[in-house]
Amino acid sequence: MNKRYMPWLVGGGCLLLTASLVFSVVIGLLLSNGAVSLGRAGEENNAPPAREEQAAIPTPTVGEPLAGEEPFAPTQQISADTFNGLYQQLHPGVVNIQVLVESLGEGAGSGFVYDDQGYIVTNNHVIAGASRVIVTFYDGFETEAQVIGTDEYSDLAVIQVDELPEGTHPLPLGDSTQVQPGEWVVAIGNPFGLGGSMSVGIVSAVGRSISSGVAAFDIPEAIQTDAAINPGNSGGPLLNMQGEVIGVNAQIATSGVAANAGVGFAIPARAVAQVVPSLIRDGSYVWPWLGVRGNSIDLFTAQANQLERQQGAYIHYIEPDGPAAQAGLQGSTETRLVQGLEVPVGGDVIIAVDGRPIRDFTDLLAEIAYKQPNDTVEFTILRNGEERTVTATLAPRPSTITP
Amino acid sequence: MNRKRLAAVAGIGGAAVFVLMIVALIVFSFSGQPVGLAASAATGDQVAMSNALDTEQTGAVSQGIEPTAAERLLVGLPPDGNGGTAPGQSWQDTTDDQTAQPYPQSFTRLYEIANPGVVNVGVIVQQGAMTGEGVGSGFVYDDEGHIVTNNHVIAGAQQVIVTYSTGVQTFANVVGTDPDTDLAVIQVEDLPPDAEPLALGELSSVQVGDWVVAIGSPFGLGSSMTAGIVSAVGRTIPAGAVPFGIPEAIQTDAAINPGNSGGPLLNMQGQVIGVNAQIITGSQTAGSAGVGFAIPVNIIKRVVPALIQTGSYQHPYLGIEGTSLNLLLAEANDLSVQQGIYVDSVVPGGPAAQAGLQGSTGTVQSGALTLPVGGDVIVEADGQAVDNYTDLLSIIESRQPGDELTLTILRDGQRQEVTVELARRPVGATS
Repeated sequence: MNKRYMPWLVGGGCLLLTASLVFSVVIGLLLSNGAVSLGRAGEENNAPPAREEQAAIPTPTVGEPLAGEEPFAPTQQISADTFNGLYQQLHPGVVNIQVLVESLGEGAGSGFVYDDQGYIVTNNHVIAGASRVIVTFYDGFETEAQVIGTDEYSDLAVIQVDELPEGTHPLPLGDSTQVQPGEWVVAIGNPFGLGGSMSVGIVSAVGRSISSGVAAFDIPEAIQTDAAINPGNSGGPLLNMQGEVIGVNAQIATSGVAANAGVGFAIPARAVAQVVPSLIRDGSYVWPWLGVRGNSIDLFTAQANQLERQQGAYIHYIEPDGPAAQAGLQGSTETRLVQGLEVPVGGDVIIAVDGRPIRDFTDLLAEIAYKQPNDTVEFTILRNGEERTVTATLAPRPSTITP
Repeated sequence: MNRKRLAAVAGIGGAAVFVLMIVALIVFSFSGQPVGLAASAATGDQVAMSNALDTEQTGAVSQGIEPTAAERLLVGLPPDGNGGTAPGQSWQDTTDDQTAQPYPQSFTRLYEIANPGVVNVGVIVQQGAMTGEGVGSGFVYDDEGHIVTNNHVIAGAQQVIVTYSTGVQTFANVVGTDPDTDLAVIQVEDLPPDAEPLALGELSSVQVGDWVVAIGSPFGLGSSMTAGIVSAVGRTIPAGAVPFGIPEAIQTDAAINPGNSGGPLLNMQGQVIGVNAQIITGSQTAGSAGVGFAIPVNIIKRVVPALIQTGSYQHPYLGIEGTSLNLLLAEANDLSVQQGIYVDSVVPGGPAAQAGLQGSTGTVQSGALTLPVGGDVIVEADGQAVDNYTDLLSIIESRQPGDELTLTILRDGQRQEVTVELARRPVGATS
């Protein structure tokens, strides 16, 4: 990874923010389906954290609000006092994270307290490769933390401290599937090393696929916001007006300069709820895997494949020996010229998963995401103009996938 | 020549393969210098100052039924419960106490209503042997499939592809362009029923401090909404392709980035008050720094119908090079006023020349500065005081070629009236 020197000296110290450690800066070049995919545009693989059936999701332990304080009431009107109230309520649950990485120096990020056992959620890219992890709480209390579990595919990690200081409390998780564009949100974290900073904005869009940083795998259902998110905010919470964590701030889209441009992305709380308990319990998370690459049906794909509707996920490539291959799904067979462009044709088009219609490739990723390895999935596909169903059995994601 | 499909043009968002092209097209970076008029103004012309800040909240007030407390909590629903964007209805909450104005409760309803009328505009441009792609935004203007966007988004494009908020894509044709206001109209066939035209608002009701949202495709991420306020009004921004300025632009801190160009800036009633076009940033390549500019709705109302009807817009033309008066110029010219437009030169054969306006006759030294002297100073246009270049430009732009304009000038210390007949702005004019 390249080290990038960020010339912000914070306070009296020389906090070197190594952007590559604390942030994935996504240059907004490559987009399919409105998704930010780093690397291979148009080639999205299923990336997602699996999910158990609804009933089986372990409920994360959440702490009580500070003694004597009313929990933030959702019926309160938004006003200038709202954000101050949120800050008072929430910032004790947010931490600064400082990492020391051999031969690279220091990095900084954020995290939030997950439960009263001292577990703290942050981004994997914040603590990856760190020899030491130091957590600073809202009151200045500093302590060393141990890395408990990491998952690079969701870019989540859990660290643990021995002691939670007085007044700190866990932040509750909200339901990221209920988040709508236009809602107010706040981000709290450590931008440029300025701990305990809150920024305010709205949800700009939902349902984005963002790169996990691991080749060819995406994180679906990411939340896009214009709340200021900068290097140092990674791993910190994105919160709704009820004071619930709806996402973990992880990436920004910029053009050249690694600083907020009003386009930030948070890993959805749904992924946190799925992955974090497993990280705590086992130190890792096993993902389901289908083994396809493809893209959403755009104008050219639709024309080249003679599809009536621009809806569904076009399968371009099938991983050899993967679940999709074993189920008999088919990828592109050739290319066809459409208006001067060579467009892949012949691949299956998935239009529904378990009977639920999907709009685009991002939907497919999200559907697979919340399944378990070894689940059976029924795909409704179009092949040569005919509709048929194909059943696949998902597998655990292999550790080495070359794009 | 066959070329490999650029995966960029896919799905809801297009992709920008040529970042520099997009940046060059969309971002005008001035490294902190004021956005003045283009070449027609002398250097040093200051940004037109906005109207005095109105610190009282006088933003949109919902008319009709005052929402109950419970209704306010139904974040953003119009009081009558209908889904329509009725003029005067506001998603901004109101209280009886105007000085303790609460924030808009949310923008979710605004997004539901307005986002289907916003499109992603992808272009394929060929330059020699190279093919590039670009992405911008646009909004649905009428039921006939006309879509408004920026000229700089579609200029030179071989193909224009519109992507609706649903992800469905279709080809579009360019119907008309006006480089001088950086507006363009494209048209699609078979507008989907849910892609409803957006209503246009009134520029006169836009005030500094009003909440606004921008919807578009920053970095190609279609259907993105950002929120902010009106930072200033009455800005003059360069048109880019031509040296003339676009007056009365709206400045906002809602995040606007490459890809937002051509998309709407909306008030809390869901009406279009501007077309997002430019940003000022710290460097050539940086994204939003909270300083964005939108072409105002009054220009849209003037220009777009002409683009639809004839494919172009005829701008009126005076034919001068000048600058807003400042202290030094006023001193050098022995003027008792500091407001007005100093005419430095007059384009030969142009309307101003034919009417007898005069430019500088010489220069004087003031310390290390060389200042022009002797030119006419325009202080009124059709009886309206014009304090600076932007004021004059706004008045001229509101007229048609062939209209007469009476200018009140100062010459040799005397007030005079000169009547000019505005002509058509010539193609390739530099002033």
